[in-house]
Amino acid sequence: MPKVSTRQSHMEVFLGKMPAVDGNHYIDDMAFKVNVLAKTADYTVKASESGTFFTDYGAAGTVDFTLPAAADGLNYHFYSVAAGALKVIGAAADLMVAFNDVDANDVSFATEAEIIGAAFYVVCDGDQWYVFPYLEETVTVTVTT
Amino acid sequence: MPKPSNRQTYMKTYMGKAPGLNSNDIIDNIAFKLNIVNKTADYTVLASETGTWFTNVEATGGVNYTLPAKADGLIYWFFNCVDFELMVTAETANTIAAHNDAAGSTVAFTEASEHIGNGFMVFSDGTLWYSAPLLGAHTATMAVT
Repeated sequence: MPKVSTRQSHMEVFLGKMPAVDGNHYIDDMAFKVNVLAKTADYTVKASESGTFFTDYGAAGTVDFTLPAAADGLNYHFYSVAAGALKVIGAAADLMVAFNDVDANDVSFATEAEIIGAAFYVVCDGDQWYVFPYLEETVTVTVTT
Repeated sequence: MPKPSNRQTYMKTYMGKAPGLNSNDIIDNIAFKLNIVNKTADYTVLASETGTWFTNVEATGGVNYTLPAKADGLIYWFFNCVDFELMVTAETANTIAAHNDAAGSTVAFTEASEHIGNGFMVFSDGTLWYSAPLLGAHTATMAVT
């Protein structure tokens, strides 16, 4: 893993301003930070926020995140750190693929003592949203069909 | 998904040397490889290693990763490859959110026969660390202190 002494990360750069691509035009050994945003009230996510890690840090109650219109490649993380439920809702009904449901409306962590520390990663192919949960073994995912 | 014949990835590039941005200033269809780093002994993670996946191949005992000072956007993954404990420790007590605990100090896989194949994704907003478990199976037990 080459590391130029004048830089602090392991990633090669181009002109000192951009991530460089390798001979196969990949960004190799990519070094990056993510965009983290806290929301304490219901929020409609924007397409331009793709890649963002949303939390409900500081929320006093339930926070509902509504996804934008489906578009290929959009992806978001939603992390529950407050005691209130966290819900992720499709922009329209039946657009989400979640546990045992290919046309879900929303997914949530809503069971007491099983909310904090759980998260969803959602990815869109332009038609549907695919839901990947990050779970401790006892956590219940609530899926609304 | 356009793919010029002289390139091996689907990502648009700038001058053939850097990822190109689309009209929304987003890297579209990003093609990248991860920075994978193996540690066989306890290790203090660097901020400059953000984006790294840490493994512990051939470790002969537990490996404890201590996180760097919290900073907005830092993100790491930790994956357990051996039949010993994997632990991630916040640099300051009570500052890592985890299952049912918004103010944990460490997260770990400690149960016998439940070590290998599990991991954590950890990111920071500058105030807290947020840990999300990556379970190899739903029966894997994570420990939070």
